[in-house]
Amino acid sequence: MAKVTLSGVSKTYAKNITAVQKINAEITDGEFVVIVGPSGCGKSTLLRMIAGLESISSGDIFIGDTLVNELEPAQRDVAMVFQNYALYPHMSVFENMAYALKIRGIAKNKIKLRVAQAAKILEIEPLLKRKPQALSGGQRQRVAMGRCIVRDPKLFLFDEPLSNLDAKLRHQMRLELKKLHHRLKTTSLYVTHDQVEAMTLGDRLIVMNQGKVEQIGSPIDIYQKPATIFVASFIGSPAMNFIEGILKPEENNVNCEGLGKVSLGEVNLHNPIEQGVTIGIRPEHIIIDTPDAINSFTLPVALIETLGADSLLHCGGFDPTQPAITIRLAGIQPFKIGTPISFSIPMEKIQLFNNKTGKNILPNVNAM
Amino acid sequence: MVEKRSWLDYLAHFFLLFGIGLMLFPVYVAFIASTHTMPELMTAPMPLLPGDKFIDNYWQVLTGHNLAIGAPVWQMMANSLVMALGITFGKITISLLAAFAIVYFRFAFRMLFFWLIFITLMLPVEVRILPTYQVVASMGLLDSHVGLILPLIASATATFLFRQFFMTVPNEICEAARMDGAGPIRFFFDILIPMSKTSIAALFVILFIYGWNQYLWPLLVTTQEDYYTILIGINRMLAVSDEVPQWPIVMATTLLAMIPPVIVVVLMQRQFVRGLIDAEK
Ligand SMILES: Nc1ncnc2c1ncn2[C@@H]1O[C@H](COP(=O)(O)OP(=O)(O)OP(=O)(O)O)[C@@H](O)[C@H]1O
Ligand SMILES: [Mg+2]
Repeated sequence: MAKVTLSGVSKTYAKNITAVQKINAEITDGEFVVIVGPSGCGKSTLLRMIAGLESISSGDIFIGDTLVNELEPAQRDVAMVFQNYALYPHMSVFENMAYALKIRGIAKNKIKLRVAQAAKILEIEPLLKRKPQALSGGQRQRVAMGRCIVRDPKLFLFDEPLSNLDAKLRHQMRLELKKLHHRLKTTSLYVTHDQVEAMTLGDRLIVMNQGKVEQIGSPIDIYQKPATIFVASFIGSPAMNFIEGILKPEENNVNCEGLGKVSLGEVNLHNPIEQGVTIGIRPEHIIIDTPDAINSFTLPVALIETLGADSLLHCGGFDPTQPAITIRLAGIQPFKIGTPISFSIPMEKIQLFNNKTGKNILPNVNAM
Repeated sequence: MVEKRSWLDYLAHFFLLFGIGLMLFPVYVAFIASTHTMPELMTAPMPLLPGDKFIDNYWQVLTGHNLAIGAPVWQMMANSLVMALGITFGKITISLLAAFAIVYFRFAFRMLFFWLIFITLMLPVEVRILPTYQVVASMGLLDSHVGLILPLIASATATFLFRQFFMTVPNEICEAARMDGAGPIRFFFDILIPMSKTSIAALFVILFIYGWNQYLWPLLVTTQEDYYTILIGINRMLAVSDEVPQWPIVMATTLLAMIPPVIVVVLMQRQFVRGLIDAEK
């Protein structure tokens, strides 16, 4: 186990494609950190640089206190689970798991013991004699994990390990991964583009976009105080509502076209000048209530999605000047399409982003 | 499944049987000829049932007395076997290594080397046979097993096939091996070769038959009967001056010459077919 330090790590591929730009991050010993971001944002590249499979264009990577920039993957003492598992097809499950140990010249009986232990943890003992072809996706996943566990490395790396599984199995494996981490407490870096996986698995998240880090923080932090409009839109499902308007600092409100004035209450903004801003409010934070509450507005219902446990009310958006807002309500709702509905936006739940920089301009946001 | 048999089915079977008959009849005639004495064979009509000289003829062929040439057939078969196996193993080894280098290593002029190998595909052995002969002769390798094998070992076709196969091996397998601590040599022997097993088996069959049937090259480099291959032997038996070839002996030799390739094909048939239709994923 070890901490991992990334300092100014960049990757430029041939033809000046910059996949990863100046990443700084510190992963503490035993932490489970999830790197999350949309497809093509450089997550895999970053992970592969840490693994040693990709050269580092600039910056330094430390595992523990060792600078690993020039070390071969095997010398870094890290283990990786690949998206397609990359099990050796001609070897049995046992041989797959034992291979790394065999190369290190560990005694046969010790190898047997360690593989048996790992197999027990992952509940794949009955499969040890089989070839990967004779396994289901979930079982292969476990074997790939077993191959990492037996090595007892300083660091686990996962590159979208669950994305080839169906929804139910993914959920189950997610829970097992979490249990496994509680048990082994090995520092782990986990790449995914699935925000649910990110929120549920990570002690902390690194949200990436276009090769850059947008925000690093605990899932709650990132959910409650997104540093940029990108993070706000990427994390949370259904996505946060965004309403554009003009900030009036002296009145402490935002004038939104098609909706009216949204009061912010008493806040100390970063740069309190009149400027174009975007209000962010999560669908689950909007309250349906009487028309006389603060920040109360009325929009007609456009569509209702009933999910069972809750319903999504899509309101407004009937013409370009009218904002479209999604409201999440518990249970099954009796509203009819077309009827106007009154809702209020609680001041304390509002996020405020500068339109030019995309940054959150509320205080107490730990931006990058 | 539809159980109805149409006349088309019968027609198809008829043609298949006809084709098989067409293929097997000469072999059958060869067998018949190898069980008669020469005078019996020369009478018209030619006999179409086995005679009683089976043991005599084959004994004579194998032990080698009274043949038109000095070497017994078993020795020629041994020579052929050495050559065929030498070529097969040599070609497979060299092509595996060449393909490994081309696919997995980034070295200067990599593509140039690949194209050089690829271009030699277009040059048949006959084109380069004279210079090759010159080289082999000046190395003093005429009339030796090494001389028989060495010039035929380089193979663009096999290199190309292995290259294609290696490119279908997912990159992650190589990366996983690197993370497990396997260097290039370990990766090659522990992972790549076992994964290429079926391709190797298919090539083994093809190359063994190719090696066994080599004719022109052995004809050039062997002058001593000790180094004759079976094909050269048969040729020499036919090329007797001033008399009729000993057909029963020639036919017996021919049938014996068929046995090793047949054994290889039969033994490796399953891997062979699998290697041709799918590369084990
Ligand atoms: N070998 C390469 N050569 C050139 N560009 C590359 C190479 N590998 C990746 N890229 C580019 O680098 C960027 C980041 O790729 P990367 O694979 O890290 O994305 P990712 O975040 O893992 O995406 P995904 O979620 O789809 O896996 C992409 O724009 C990609 O096109
Ligand atoms: Mg990726």
